[in-house]
Amino acid sequence: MERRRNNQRTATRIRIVGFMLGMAVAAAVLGASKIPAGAGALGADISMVVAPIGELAVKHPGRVLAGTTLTPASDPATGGFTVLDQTMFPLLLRLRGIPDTPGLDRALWVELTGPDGEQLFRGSLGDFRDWTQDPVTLKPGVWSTFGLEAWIPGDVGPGYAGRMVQVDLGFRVTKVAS
Amino acid sequence: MNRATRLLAALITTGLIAVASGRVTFAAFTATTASPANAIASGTVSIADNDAGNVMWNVTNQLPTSPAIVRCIRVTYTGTLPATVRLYTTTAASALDPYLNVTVEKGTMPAATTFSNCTGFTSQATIAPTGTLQAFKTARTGWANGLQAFPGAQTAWNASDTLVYRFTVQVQTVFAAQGLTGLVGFTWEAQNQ
Repeated sequence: MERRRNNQRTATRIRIVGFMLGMAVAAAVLGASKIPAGAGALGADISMVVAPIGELAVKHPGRVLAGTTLTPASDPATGGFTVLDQTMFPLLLRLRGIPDTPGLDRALWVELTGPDGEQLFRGSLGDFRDWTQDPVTLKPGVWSTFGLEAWIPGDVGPGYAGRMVQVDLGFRVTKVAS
Repeated sequence: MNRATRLLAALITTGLIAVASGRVTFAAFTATTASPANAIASGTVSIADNDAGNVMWNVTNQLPTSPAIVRCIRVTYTGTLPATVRLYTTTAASALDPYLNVTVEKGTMPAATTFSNCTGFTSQATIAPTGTLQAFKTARTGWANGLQAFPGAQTAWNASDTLVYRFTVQVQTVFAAQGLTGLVGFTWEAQNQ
């Protein structure tokens, strides 16, 4: 009788110890596999797309810049595109970008550089809706490459968080006056 | 394995199952994103070419023995909706029309070949077999009877598609063709499918 009681006590202790061991292992594994905390804020996403027009061929139409989770602290998104004057005349080219939503008009900044590295535009996405002031001269049959950067300046408030925008780049060409 | 060991193993297993469930639960809390600007926009149908307003040909003193006039024009679909494109002319008849043979082909060409050269043109198909300009003007007068062509084997024009049209024009060896003038303008029209 006494021996049976001892066995029951031992079994109970073993159950308790086993359960605690199991929970300890579970806690250890959970602690090790816990997903790290995020930065605390969602970033902004931007993509810029380009398409040919009658006078200009585009080497790789479509998305030419993609930036995800942009924040004031992050590096700029970079991209570029290459166009060719397929008419028989030199052309003056002006560019602009039309966002599909105004949500990042103030928060996002854009820089556009020309084939010789010259700055054609630097300012907010909202101001990029206007045609660039200084045209670029394109020679017939010659490819010209343009650079793009997009970033969120350090002093921008949290309004950018979680916003997404697609910017359609537009071309306007005129013949060089003879 | 004695009873105590079996019991211990069973309890540890219970704890590990709890771990697996916990991981799934954690994963469910990590996927966050935003969709702030759900928008709907209508599609567009537009088309352009690379002539920059210039004529494809303007030649004088042509003879039946002169080399054929060969010119290329690149048409680019700048709309977003799948479309059909047709070529036609609305130019009035001119005196040389019955004595000018015209052939139209579709094809591709290196991007660096500028209007109205055809260097590097590769024909995909002849879309208007050789016939007189007079016949062309009679047969292709608008969208309803326009000359339909698609890039390659496609059955629709899609955004940023391009197609090169090559025109070959030759004066017939006909005495009556002397001293006449022919004039023609071509129109490409796109309509969404």
